[in-house]
Amino acid sequence: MKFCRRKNCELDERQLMMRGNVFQHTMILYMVLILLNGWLHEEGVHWAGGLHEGMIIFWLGACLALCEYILRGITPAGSSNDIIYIMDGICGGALLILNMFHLADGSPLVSGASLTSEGGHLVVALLMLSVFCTYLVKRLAGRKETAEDED
Amino acid sequence: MGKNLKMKAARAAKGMTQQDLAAAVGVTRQTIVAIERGDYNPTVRLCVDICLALGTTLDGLFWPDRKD
Repeated sequence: MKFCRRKNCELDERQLMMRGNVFQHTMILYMVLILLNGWLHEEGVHWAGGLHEGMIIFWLGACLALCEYILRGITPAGSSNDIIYIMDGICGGALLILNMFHLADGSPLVSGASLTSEGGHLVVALLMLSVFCTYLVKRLAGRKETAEDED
Repeated sequence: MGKNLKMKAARAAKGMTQQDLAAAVGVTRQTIVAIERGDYNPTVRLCVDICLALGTTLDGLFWPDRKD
């Protein structure tokens, strides 16, 4: 009898439940951040220039959701998930290095209590790298876990 | 929810690793780990699949031992 029904890219029942929880957490986080941002605007506080406020809010929610995916072992893209996280790390690293050049040229991170374009890019790069770091830590911890669980 | 030692013992008796059992029932290894640790309550459908894969019954694997 063949029991296996799961394709590589399909989530099992535990993963589906966890994914729902992650969506819920992310939605609540976005609601809180958008409300907080609106309140800050109302008070006349502009903490980042241009589109960077929205961009940082978006990346913060997305990166926290991805970190939660990694920590809870949710793999919506099957084995391609590894590639996604590695690409995320490469993009974050490249953005960080490019930003370092701008900063070395003397561009400020903060101007008038508001993040500059370079500051915004730096925050996004660090958020992207945080996903990659979570992936690496989980992978290293997973190897140790596998050996212990089989005992 | 306590650890499911009966499932772990049945799997070991069958000579299957968590990965083997996961592949047999169509879930990830982490899900099998979570069930054995008692961190996840599987659906009846998954319980039945696990019982079939391990050649045992629902009572044998998932029914609690009551001492009353």
